[in-house]
Amino acid sequence: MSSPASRTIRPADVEGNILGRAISQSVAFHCISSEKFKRALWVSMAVTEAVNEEVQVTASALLFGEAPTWFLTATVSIGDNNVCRSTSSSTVISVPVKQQILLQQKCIYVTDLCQLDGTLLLKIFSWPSTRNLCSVAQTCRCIWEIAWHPSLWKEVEIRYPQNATAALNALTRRCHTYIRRLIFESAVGLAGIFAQLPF
Amino acid sequence: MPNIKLQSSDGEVFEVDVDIAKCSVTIKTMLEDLGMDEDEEEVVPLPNVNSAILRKVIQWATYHKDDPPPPEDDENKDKRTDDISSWDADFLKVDQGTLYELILAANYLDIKGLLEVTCKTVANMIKGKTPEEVRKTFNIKNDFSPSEEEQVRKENEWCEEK
Repeated sequence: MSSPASRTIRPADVEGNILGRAISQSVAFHCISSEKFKRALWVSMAVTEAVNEEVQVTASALLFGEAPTWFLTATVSIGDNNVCRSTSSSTVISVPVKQQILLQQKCIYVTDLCQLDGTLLLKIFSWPSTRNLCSVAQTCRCIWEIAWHPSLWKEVEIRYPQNATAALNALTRRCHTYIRRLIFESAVGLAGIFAQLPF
Repeated sequence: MPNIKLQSSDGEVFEVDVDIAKCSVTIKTMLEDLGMDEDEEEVVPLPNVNSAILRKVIQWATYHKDDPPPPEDDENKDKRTDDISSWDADFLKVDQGTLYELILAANYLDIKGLLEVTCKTVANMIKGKTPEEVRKTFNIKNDFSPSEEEQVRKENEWCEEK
């Protein structure tokens, strides 16, 4: 990595390129379309100030295209007639391709459990017991879908079931092929159930 | 100890001991790939992590710097969630938004220990609750129709305790 040089991109460069529209508190960003930068990736943005119908947005982006890659931080003020006033600064960063990909993951502001992506929800749901997982599964569609992921059903523990036969039937329907370890505690009414099991 | 400079998404630069920063596999790999000399004055941009969260992450990593590396084996992990240390429990007394941001940061920076303890904390918030109580805790909107909800409830009846 060469020592980072600092240079300020002229406001005109940015003005022509950023199309920002502030809609109340949320800001929708359009990607920079520019000949200079083939691709821009917004990595963060935040409304930093909202005064007199003017919304100030601070955004950082990685700009790919001509080598080297730029890391740009821009503050854009958007008035009610969509006039952008902007100040920006950017730094050359030379990051290997592999890390560029790494840096491309978007910065998302998550305020809601369901906004986390599936792989993270799977990590969270790998901790609750079978009973708690069944409970959380019933809360909404997005979680229902994730809660039946095979990786969550390798170990199943059922203690004091209301109806052991119903429990085994449900498991047979939904996930019996994933189960590696099944613990059944204090189950009654199991007579004949094993004959029904396909495994 | 050599230091490294980490820059958050909002531009704040944090100077951190390299050994502490390397608890992040992402940073560790990046440093190795770049072949950075440790005395070089480089700034590593972390565009996915804001300063408030990066500060927390560094605080966590500093406290846990002498921890043994977490075991690789996920298959046989102990499913206990009641083993969170009191320091971690205090550290994670934050609002849910911050907790999710920490999960995202731990995942992006690849800090296994932090990811595990944050996920366990969320799991503990689920523990022993009815679906309605879980919805209340996490502010989850019930988007099942009444008939779907009944069906879903029936399908999960089997795991209710008698």
